[in-house]
Amino acid sequence: MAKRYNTFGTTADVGVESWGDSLPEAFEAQAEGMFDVMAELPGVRPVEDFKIGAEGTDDETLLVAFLNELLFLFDARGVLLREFEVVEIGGGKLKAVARGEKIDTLRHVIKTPVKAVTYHMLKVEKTPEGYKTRVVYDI
Amino acid sequence: MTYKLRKLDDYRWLVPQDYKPGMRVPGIIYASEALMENIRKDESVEQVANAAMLPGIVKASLAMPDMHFGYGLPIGGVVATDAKDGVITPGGVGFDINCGVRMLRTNLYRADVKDKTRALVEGLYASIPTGVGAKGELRLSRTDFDRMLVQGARWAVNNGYGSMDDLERIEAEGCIQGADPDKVSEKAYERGKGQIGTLGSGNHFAEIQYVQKVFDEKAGAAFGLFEGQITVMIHTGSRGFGHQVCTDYLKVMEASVRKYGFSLPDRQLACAPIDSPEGRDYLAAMRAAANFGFTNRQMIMHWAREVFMHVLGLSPRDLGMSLIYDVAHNIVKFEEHEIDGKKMMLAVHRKGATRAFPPGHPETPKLYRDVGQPVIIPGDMGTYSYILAGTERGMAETFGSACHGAGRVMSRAAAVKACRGRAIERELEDIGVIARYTGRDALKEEIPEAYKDIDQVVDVVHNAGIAKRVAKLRPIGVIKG
Repeated sequence: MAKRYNTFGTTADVGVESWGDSLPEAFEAQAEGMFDVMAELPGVRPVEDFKIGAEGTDDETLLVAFLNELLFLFDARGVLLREFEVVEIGGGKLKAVARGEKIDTLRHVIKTPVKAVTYHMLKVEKTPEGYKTRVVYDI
Repeated sequence: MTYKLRKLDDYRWLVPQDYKPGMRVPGIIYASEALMENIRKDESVEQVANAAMLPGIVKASLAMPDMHFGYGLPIGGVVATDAKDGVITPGGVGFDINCGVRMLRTNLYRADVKDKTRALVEGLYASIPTGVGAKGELRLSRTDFDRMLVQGARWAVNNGYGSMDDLERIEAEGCIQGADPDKVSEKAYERGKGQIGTLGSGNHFAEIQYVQKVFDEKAGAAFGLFEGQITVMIHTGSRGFGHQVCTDYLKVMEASVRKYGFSLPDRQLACAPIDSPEGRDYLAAMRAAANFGFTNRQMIMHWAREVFMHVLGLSPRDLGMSLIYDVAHNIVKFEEHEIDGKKMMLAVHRKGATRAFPPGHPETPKLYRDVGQPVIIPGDMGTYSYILAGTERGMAETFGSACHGAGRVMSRAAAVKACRGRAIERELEDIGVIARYTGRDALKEEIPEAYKDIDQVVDVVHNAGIAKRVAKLRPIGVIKG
């Protein structure tokens, strides 16, 4: 599938804009963008499944909660993720599956680890072309 | 809107209270004309104005000359709120709670390490876990982990990392009272348990430096510094543990803003009354993260000392490698300050700003009572770092605060782009800096031109009188995540 995100720079940090035909697609692309900031994705094998649940008060906080769950897997469990599938979304809740593998420092290329997901310039919107998201990450 | 900024003198700019509706106090930016040019390029002035809208803010919303855009407060921001009826905001502390820096002196001259710099850098790199996937060697039981969160650096010393002498040379003696592990999420614990004693990534580093110049003989002597001397600087924070605490409480504060009916211009400034369940819980968790940060730097320092002893074959006495000071530059502290002639208890938020207490202050360590608290300002790896001392004027004007670094001017992406076709490691070596790093872009993102000129930043602080220059340090070796 074609790349559905772009990264952009702020003074100190990095942002990702993503898009998709549906909200789940835009969320999945944002997640891929976050991991693309952190590592060379082609070297990551989608061999292990991780189930994810997240809750928010609106689409934006739901997206942040989803990304925070993924970041937790990276930082606490030492996992690089590459494929994302939002299987259920609605009522401020989401269920997803992410696929990736444990970090192998000899094989994987780490670029820039993300420290945190911020609310700055945070956006989830429906446009005539589909859904768009924007997230700025603290590096 | 920047036309509304008023130049007060060569180092101070006023953001008038009518700059934006809703400001409760004015803003003051410490900057020279040249630095102001860059500051105007991002939204950081707006952030100074936004912070002035926080309920209970006193005197002014301040920004140091290294200021640049942040989340909520700008980096380099200082905001004090009334401890009785003000608010507390995680956006005024940042994600990396108790990010900070410590500096060590040695008895060594440059000539003593001339042929050993590479071995020292390799030794540090081998002993201090850096970057992603590096786990600390320490595995604590939950009980011990919680004890560490409550006791801070004292816990590290009690467990063989360093000596009791170290503690009086750490801000708050390495332990912020009132930490409560029960206010910390399971997720924070999960992220933090393998990261005690790790350097991390981003702008964090451990650096071997030498004293290029001592500006203030008396303070330099009090800090144990002399020209040509080898020193070590460690810059890191509370790692994933602190990031998770901030992330968790941003969510709590989002709800709190609605509950207490605050109207704020930026979601990242979400806050709660200090005296509320949300405020108290955040404080208790923030303090635990601050203590994690002190412990982290204490352990890394311990390993750095071991590396120096081992590589140089010197006894601790001959090496004389002792801590000068350790300061937090992302933290909120309760402090007494004089406002309009009245003593007030304030919650001083320093976000990318360093505490700089004057001579004679009860919280300035006894060792430095005559000269002021050491203020450590890490620069970027290719240029300089500084050590300053706190002043009475800083106490009166900036709640005893100064800058915290050079401050970025270039995005990470732009820095990496600027490095295309260049060998940064080699460039550094050419100017006498040996570097070891983990992340592919770790060096590129931190190239000297990505930062403001630290000389200019420190000039403003010194000339404005909010802290005074003591010595300038030049790096010779660095490890990064």
